[in-house]
Amino acid sequence: MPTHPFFFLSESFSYPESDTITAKSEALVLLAKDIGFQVPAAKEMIPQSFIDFQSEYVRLFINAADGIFAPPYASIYVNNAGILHQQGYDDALSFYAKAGMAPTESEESPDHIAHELAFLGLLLDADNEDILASFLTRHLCVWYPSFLQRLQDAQPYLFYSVLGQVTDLYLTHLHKEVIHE
Amino acid sequence: MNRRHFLKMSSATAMAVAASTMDGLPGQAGLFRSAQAQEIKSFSTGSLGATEVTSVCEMCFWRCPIVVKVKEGKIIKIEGNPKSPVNGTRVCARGNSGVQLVYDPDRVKTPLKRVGARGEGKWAKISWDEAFGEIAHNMEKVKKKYGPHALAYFDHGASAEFMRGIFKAMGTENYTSEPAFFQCVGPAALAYLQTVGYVTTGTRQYNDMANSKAMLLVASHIGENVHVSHVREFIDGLQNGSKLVVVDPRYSAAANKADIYLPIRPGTDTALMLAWINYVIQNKLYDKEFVANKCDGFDALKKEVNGYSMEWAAKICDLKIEDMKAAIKELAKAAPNVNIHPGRHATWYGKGDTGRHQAYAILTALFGAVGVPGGIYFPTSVKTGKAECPEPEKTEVAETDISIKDETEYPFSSMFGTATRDLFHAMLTGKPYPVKLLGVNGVNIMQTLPNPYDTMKAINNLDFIFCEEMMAGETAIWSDIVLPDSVYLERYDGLYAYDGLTPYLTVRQPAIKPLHNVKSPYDIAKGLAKKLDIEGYSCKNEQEFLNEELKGAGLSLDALNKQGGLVTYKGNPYRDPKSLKLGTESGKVQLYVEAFDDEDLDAIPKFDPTPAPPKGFARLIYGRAPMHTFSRTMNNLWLNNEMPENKLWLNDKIAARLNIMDGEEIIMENQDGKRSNPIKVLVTPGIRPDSVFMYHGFGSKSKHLSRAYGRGAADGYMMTNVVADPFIGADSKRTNFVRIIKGDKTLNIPELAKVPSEIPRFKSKLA
Repeated sequence: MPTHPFFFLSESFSYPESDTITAKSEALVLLAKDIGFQVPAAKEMIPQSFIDFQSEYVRLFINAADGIFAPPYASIYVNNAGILHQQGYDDALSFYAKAGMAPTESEESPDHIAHELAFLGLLLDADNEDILASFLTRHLCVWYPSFLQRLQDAQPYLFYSVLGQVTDLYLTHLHKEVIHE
Repeated sequence: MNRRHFLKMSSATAMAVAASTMDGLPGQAGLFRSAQAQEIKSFSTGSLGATEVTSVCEMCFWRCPIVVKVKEGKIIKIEGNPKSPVNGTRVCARGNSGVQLVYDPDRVKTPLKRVGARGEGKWAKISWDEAFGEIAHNMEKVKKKYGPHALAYFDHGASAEFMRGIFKAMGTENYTSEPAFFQCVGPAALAYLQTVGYVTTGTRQYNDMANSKAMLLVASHIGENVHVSHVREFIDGLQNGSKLVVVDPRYSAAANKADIYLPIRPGTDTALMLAWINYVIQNKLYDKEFVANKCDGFDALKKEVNGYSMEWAAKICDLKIEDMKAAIKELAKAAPNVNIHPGRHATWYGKGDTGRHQAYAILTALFGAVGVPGGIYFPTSVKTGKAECPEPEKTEVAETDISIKDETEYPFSSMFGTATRDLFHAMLTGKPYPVKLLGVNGVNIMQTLPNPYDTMKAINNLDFIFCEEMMAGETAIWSDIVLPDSVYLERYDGLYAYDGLTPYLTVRQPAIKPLHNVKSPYDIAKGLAKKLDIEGYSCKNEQEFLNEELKGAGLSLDALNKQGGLVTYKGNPYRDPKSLKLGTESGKVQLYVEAFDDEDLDAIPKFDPTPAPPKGFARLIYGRAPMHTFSRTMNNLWLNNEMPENKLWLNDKIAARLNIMDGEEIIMENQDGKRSNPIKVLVTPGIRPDSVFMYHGFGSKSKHLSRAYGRGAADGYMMTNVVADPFIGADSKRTNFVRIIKGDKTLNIPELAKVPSEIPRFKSKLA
C-alpha cells in the first residue's frame, strides 16, 4: 500500500468528494510537525461546512469568484504560457513515459498538481531516483512556486494555505535530498 | 529530519496520513497505469506533419469551413478549408484563436451547482447525473405548479438546437426567443420578408457585393464585424470598381474606403432614405420596366414620399445636399447592379427600425436590383436527408387559454417566436402568465439584452435557471446549474449546408477528444431527455444522424471526408427579371405592405424622429470589433492581447472643450444616472460631436473571466431607455445618452451640431 505523504498531498489537491476535512487537517498538522513547520491547530483549518470547503476548492482550482486564481496545471506556469496543454503539459507526459507510466483516463489534465504529486509518490515507491531528481529539478520545482504564489494571493481557506506551504516544504526537502544523493 | 527521510519514508506519520481519508491513498496511485518506458526527446513544434481534420468554425455564427491541424492529440493550428468557396484557406483572428478557447483555464470544466446567491458565483462541483437530476426535477416541478409555458428557453448558436427539443417536448410555447432575431436582425428580416417575399438578411445575407457596380452601406461594420466571406465579397466588389457610399455618424473601416461618405446625424437614416426614394421617383431614376411589371404599390409610394425633399433631409440629417445628390446619382447609375446593403444589426431606435429596412428594400426594388448580379440574390438550397433521431419524438405545444404570443402588442413577433421583451415581462410581472424557469444556451444574458438591471430582477423572480456554457461568463454566475459545453473543436454538430452564391455541404467534426468533464450538446440533450422520460434522441451518437442526413445528399461522413470534408454545388442565385416570381402573395415586390396596414402600422415607411440627446449628453452608439465576437471572446488569450479593452470614441473638438486628453480614463453617466466602469477615451475627428462610440462586449462583470473582468466598459449597462419596435417588439439599443465623469467632475457635452425643431429632445431629469 503506498504510504508516501505525496499521495496524501495529491489527494488533498483533488476535489473533496467526501467529508474528510477533519482527518485531513489532522494529517496535515502531523506532516508539518514532522518537517518542523509550525502550523495552526487542525480544528482551525476546518471550515464552517463541507459545502463551503467544496466551493472553496472550486473557487481556487476550477472556476471561481475573482477568476481562476490558482489553475493547478503545469502548463499555465511553464514559460508563463497561461493556457493548458502547452510545454508544461508536454514535459509532464515525457517524464511519465520515461518512467514507464501513463496517466489513466481522468477528467483532469495529466499535468494537474494532483497527478504530479502522485507520480512523485510512485517514483519514490519504485526507487526511481534518476527520474525523480530530473522531474523535480527540471519540472515540478520549476512551476510549483508560481502556482503557490497564485494560491496564496487568492487568500484561500487556511487548509489550502497550509497545504500549499507544506507541499512546498516537502518538495524542497525532497529536492535537496535527491540532489545530494 | 534525517537524510533519506523522504526517499524511504514509512514512518508512523505516513501511516496516519494514509488512514486519514475514507477512500485511502492507493486511489491516487490509480491516476497512473504501467506503460512501456520510452524516451520522448521533445514534442515537435509547428504544424508540419500534423493530422488534418476538416470542420466548421464557431468562433462566430458565420461558421467558416476550417482545417484543424493536430499533433500528439493537441491542436496546433487552424486554417481555412482550401475547398471552401467562401473563405478558402483564410480564417480571421478569431478563427485562429479557437486553439486558445479550447485550452483556456477559465473554461467551465465540470457541471457546477450554485451554493451562494445568484450573481455571486459560488459553486460546488457536481456529477452529470446530479446536474441532469436537478434540472429535470425543477422542470417537472415548475411545469406542475405553473403549467408548461412557465418553462422558457433563451439561446444562440449551433449548440442550442438539441436542447430546444427538450423544451418543445415539455409543451411550452416559449422555446424560441432568440436574441439573434429579437435583439439583432429581426426588423430587417420582417421588412424584407414582407417586401420581397424572402428573408434576404438572416443568419446569411444574400447580398451580391462582389458583382456590384455600386454599394450603399448604412452604419455597416463590414471590416470591423469580420465574417471572412463577407469581407472578401466587399473587397472583391471594390477591386472590381464598385463605387461605395457609406452613411454613418462614425468614420468606420468601411467609411475609410468610401467614394462618398455621409456623416449622418444618428436617428435620421430613414429621412435620408425617404428623400432619396422621392428623388429617384421624381427624377425618373428608377427601373420603369421592373417597377411596372414586378412591383405593387408604386403610386401609393410616390404619393407617400412626395413631401420628403432633399433640402428637408439635408437639414434633418445634417448633411450637405450636394453630397446626398451625388451619392444617390452614383447608386442609380449602377442600377440594376447596385447593392443597397441592409447592414446586419437592425435594432437601433425601436419604432423606426422595420421602416428603415423597408426603405432599403424599396430602393433595391426601384433600382430593379432583385435577383441580378450585384443586387440581392436568391439562396440555392442543398438537398440533404432528415434524421428523426436528434429530436424528441413528440413536440407539441400545450394548449393554453392565455398565450404570450396571442397577448403580445407586437403583431408580427409570433411569426418568429416569443419576443424577448414579452418573455422577460412575464418573468418580471407574471403577466400574461408567470415564466418561472429559464434555460440559457450560448448567450451572455447580461450583455446581449439592454437594461441588465431589469434582467437581474427578472432572473431573481425565477424559481430556477440553468445554462449550457463553454466559459464561466455572466450567465453562469446567475445560474443555479451550469452545464459545461464542449468546444466546437471537440464535437460533432448538425450538417452545414451553405445556400449562397456557390452552395456547399460540410460538417463539424471533432479534432480532439473533449477536455475536462464536458459533454457535447447532443449528449447533454440526450442525458436530460432520459431524466425527463422524454422519448427520442435515439441515435447512439452524432455520427449516426449525420450519416442519415448525408445519405440524402448521396454522401456519408467517410465519403465527405475523402472529398476534403466539403462538397460544392452549382448555385442558382439570379433570375431573368421577366420570369421573376417572388414569395409574396402577388409574386411581386410589395412597395406598400398591406399586412402592415391591416395592423394599423405604416404600410409605407414614414419618418418619425427618434429623440435627440438631452442638453449636455451625446448619443451612445456601439459596434463590433474585428477580433472579438459579442462578449464571448474577451477572455481569449490571443484576442485579449490584440484588444484587451474598449475605448470611448469622443469627437476631438468636444474633447478639446472638455479638456480631455487621448487615453484619459473617464466614467460615463447615462440619462438615468447609471454609471459605467472606467473606460479610456479615444479622441478622434472620426465621430460626430453629438455621438460617442464604443465597441460592444467589454467590461465583463464576471469575475470568473480572469483576463476580461473589468477591462473597459459595457454598453449594455448604459442602456436603460429601451424602445420597442412596434412590429415585432425588438429592443432598441441606440436610444441612450451619456455624459462624462472625469475625476469628481461631471462634464456636460457641448452641443456643436444644432438640432432642428422637427426633432424632439429626449427628456432627462439630469439634463
